[in-house]
Formats: sequence, structure tokens, C-alpha cells
Amino acid sequence: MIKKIQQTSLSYLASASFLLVIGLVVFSALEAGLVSAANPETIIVRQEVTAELSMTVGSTTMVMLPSIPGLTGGTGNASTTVNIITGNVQGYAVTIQASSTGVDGALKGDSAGGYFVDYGATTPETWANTTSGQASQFGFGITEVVLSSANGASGYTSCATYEDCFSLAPTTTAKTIVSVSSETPAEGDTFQLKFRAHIPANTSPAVPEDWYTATTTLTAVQL
Amino acid sequence: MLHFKVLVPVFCLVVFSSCLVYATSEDITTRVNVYSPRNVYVAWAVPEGRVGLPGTNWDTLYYLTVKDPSDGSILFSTSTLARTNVTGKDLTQVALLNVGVGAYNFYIKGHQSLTRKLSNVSLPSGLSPLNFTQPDNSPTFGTVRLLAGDINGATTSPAVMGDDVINAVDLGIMLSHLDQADPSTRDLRPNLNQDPVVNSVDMSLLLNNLDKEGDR
Repeated sequence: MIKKIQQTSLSYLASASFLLVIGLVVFSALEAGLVSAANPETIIVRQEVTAELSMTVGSTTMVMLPSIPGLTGGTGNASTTVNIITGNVQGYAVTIQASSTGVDGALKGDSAGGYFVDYGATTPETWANTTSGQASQFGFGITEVVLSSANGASGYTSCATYEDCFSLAPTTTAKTIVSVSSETPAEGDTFQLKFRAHIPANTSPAVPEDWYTATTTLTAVQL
Repeated sequence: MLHFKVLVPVFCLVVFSSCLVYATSEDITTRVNVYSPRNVYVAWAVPEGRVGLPGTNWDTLYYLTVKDPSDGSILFSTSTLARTNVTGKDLTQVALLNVGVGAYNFYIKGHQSLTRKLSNVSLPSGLSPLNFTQPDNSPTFGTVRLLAGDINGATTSPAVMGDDVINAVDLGIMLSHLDQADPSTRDLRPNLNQDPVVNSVDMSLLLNNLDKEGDR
């Protein structure tokens, strides 16, 4: 009897040990699976790049050439390139405004009191000379060279040649001459800013012998 | 090339929010010169060493140049050669195209001589004399002469009328013509004093000016 009890106990012990070993094996397998399926931590790194704008004007002091004989008349021209670079995805705009110290035109004589009459057109147009006996003219215009997208400035959508897109230089309200609704490429957008002074023969009012100067302010803004 | 990169922040208010605008501006100065037509003529330009009585043998081929005193840039130059008469004058008016208000340097270059300059000559409207016998273009006849000896190059246009320095090149030309007769007194360029022969007198004039250069 005692011997049978001992055999039964040993049998229980062996069964318990076997179950323990199986349990350990199962636990180990399941534990490894649980570790490999843990949620990853996501680390987000951000850097803000702010939009900037630069404008390069080829020459800020220009002499219109050739000189103009006051009686027989003639035409003087000057131009410079303007380069705009911006990373602003909304784009940029360029405006122009001429300084004025009186009611006369923007191009004034340094010492003799004369002035050029502002070019007649307020909206851009192909340049048209006045004829003999009429008034002198001073105007500005642009010629598009490379723009990253179409120029949205009113009246300046077709300025392909030098004669295109001339108007008077506004003295009271800045005039938008370029409006581009996209960022520029790395090399920027480029256009030609041009000025023209014209005296017809026997002009009236007379333009006395002198140097004449106009100051215009070119401003570029991010949109 | 001027490069401006001035960023000016301007804060503005939009409904319920604010925005930041960057702008950059440049002032551009544009100038033009309006002038009255100006003419000049050569009142006197006298080559040195000419034989004969004063005012009887002073003729020379020449051209004129006008420069801006501030930077030396050429504003006007006669495209063809002209000639003064035996009194050293040329009353033919030269219209100065594209020369406006201001004072300018005038230069004369003779076919046997170095360039002579008149400095800061103010030009009124109309006609102005150029007196190269004075250093300052004052109106009276003076003692300044065109230095003789620049005789290389052709004499067909201003561009090839000598090199404005008297050196071995001119000396070689002089030596090659030495003792040659010049009955008309104006056929041989080395005949500096315009007598009937190229001789030691001409050589002496050249040697006296050796290594000299024209006015700049």
C-alpha cells in the first residue's frame, strides 16, 4: 500500500514537472513575441524656413543717352536690369513711384527751372513720340526677360520689346509693374527697367539747356 | 553691380490674424542732358619751328577731340582730318554733337606734332574759339606751340596719324628722309620746319622732343 502511494506521488510529481517545463517554454515563446510587437516611438523634427526677398538693381544711377539738343530735339534712353529672388510661394510684386517736388513732371532741370512733361499714357502702351511743336516727354517702362510665371500686373502682360509698355512715372501712387504669384527659381526673375526722354523739334513748352534728373523708387514686396 | 538686400519687416493686421511682409526698395536716379548746339573753331594752333615770318607757314593737318575732365572719356572727336591755314587758323565751324552744359578738355593733334590740350574750357551756347597758343584758351595770341616730331603712321585719318609719342620710330623715319629735297615744303612729313629740304634742322627739332608724349 505504501509502495503504491509512493508510485502515485512520483507520477504526480513527474506530471507537474512536465507541465512546468511546457509552461516555461510557452511563456518564453509568447514573451518574445510580445517584445517584438512593442509600439515604436515617433520623433518629429521640424525646421521653419521663412520666405525672404531680395532685389538687385543693375544700376541705380543712369544717364539717358544721347544728350538731346534742345531746339532740334531727340530721344535719350537708359535701362537697367532688375533681379528678384524670393522663396515666398505666394510670389512677389514690384511697384514704382517717382518723387515729385511740385506739379511739374518727374524729370526736372537741375538749375534752369525747366522740366519734361510726363509721358501721356497712364496705362502702359507702345511708345509714341510727340511731333514738332508739341510737348516733351518722359516715361518709363519694362521689358520682361525671364519671369517664373506670367506677369499679373495690369497692363504689363505683354512687354516683349523695348518699345512696349511705356507710361508716365506716377508721383502720387505707386504703380505695380510686376506681379508674380509663385516663388522664383534660384537665379531669380529678371526684367528690364527702362526710361525714355524725348524732345520734338521746336517743343513747347521749351526745354532749356540743363541737366534733368528724376528719382524713382522701386519697391519689391512679398505677396 | 550694386547688390541691395535690405529686408524691412512690416507687420499688418488681417482679420483675426497678423501677417509679416518683407519688402525691399531702391531709389533710381535717371538723368538726361539737354543742350544747345555748340560750335567751335581753331583760332590758333601753331606748330613749332616753322621757317618764315610769323603767320606765313603755320598750317597743319589736324583733328580735334573733346573729353570729359572728370573721367577722361571721349565725348566727341572729328572723324576726318582738317587743315589750318598758314596763319594757324581754321575758321570752319565744328559742331560738337552730344556735348552739353559744362567745361571740357579740348585736344588738337597735328600731323607732325604731339597732342596739345586746353583744360576745362567752358562752352557757352553758340560759337567758341579754341586758342591752342594759350594754356587756358584765353583770347590773345600766346607762346604755346605744337611740339614737332611725331611723324609715324599714315596721314589719312585721325586713327593713323602718329602714335603721340616721339621715339626711335620717328627718328628712323627722319633718318630715312634725311637730305631729301621737298620743293613744295609740304610733301615730306619729316620736313618739320617746312623748308625745301629735310635736314639737320628738322632732326634737331625731333631730337629736342625725343621721348616726349602728347597731352592726355
